[in-house]
Amino acid sequence: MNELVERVTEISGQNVYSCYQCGNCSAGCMFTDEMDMLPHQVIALVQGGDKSVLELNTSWICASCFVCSIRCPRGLDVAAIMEALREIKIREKGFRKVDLRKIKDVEKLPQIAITAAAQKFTW
Amino acid sequence: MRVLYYPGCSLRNSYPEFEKSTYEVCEKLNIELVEIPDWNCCGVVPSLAADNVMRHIGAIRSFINAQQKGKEIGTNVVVTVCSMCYNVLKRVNLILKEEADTLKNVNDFIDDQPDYVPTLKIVHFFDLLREIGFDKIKEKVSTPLEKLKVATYYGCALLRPEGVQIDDPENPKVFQDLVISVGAEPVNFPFKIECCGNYHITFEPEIVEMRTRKIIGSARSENTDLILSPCPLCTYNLNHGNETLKEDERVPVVFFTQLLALALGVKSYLPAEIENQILKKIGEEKNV
Repeated sequence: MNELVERVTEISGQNVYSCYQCGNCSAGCMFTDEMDMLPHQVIALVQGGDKSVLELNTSWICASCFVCSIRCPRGLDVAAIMEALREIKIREKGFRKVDLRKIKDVEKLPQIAITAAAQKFTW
Repeated sequence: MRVLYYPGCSLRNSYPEFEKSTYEVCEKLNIELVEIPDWNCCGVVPSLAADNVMRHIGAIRSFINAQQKGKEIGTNVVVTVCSMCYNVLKRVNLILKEEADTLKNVNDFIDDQPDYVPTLKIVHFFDLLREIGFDKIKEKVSTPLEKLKVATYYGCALLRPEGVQIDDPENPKVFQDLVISVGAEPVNFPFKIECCGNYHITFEPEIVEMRTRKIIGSARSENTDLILSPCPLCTYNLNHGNETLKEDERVPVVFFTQLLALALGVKSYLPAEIENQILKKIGEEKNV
């Protein structure tokens, strides 16, 4: 197990090696238009221990809608793997994904939007 | 029927019409909602990190209060109408039922309250309506919404991930069954289980626009009069999507409880303009 797989497994509780690259997650994902790489490709990079995966936008674009997770034939919670990739960055000292003070139209937004963003983008 | 009720922040602050119409419907259907004392924010999106339970604490504090109130009134059922709150409460409760270590961990951490014993049953308002029976609801309809075409938008939180689904996650029917019971026609709506873009509205609203324009377009292609939503954030996002579309491409979005209230002859808290449009469509125009 390489270092990246170890971290992802520890945080997500998922065995990324059980992915056999069928691409079902990417086929169902509604956000692929915006992603640097597709979800199954990201998992392949994780399997190979390639830390450049942490610099892709894919995990940040993932909105945890769980379509991938309910369709994975291997029973992997793909959304949890994406969360683990976000968490690895978020837990880095000095890392800052967003500045919550810079949310547009903050007075208009329902507070659940802001709280959800805080949960996903900050530690 | 007497149940514990978790309102959630959005119903109190952003969309009071969602809560008020829910109360109207409950009165008509003899459901007594007993609000959980001192409930707090559910957390909105539960942490998917197996090694971090801190983000569940908000939900668990509300469970502890619900557990005490439930003993007083003799129920363990907690109902929510906000689909995001439902999703979080349901999942956190499942985790605590399945993971003894996590339960002990949070009970040790929350040392100013009694321990939580995970016996609460978290349900969504749809579950209660199904339990009452759509045929019973139909009997109570005083304004059948005939000819009204509606798109039943589920979004993510009522259906995914596994363990929280209120119906078949790929081909749910409960929402359409409800709509049929009040006389309206659910349109063919393949985007009903798709995601609106969720919290991306905060920093990348163009992602929400990309998603919601497709969802609205799917509803529009069936000449839909209304999109019904069970979620405050989906509603906000769909309305945001509508704003980016030309007027004749938009489809109004309302909460499902508002339409149900209208059909049951109680106050719907719909905007007058939309209520008038509905009544006109069903041929029962009245002076409002």
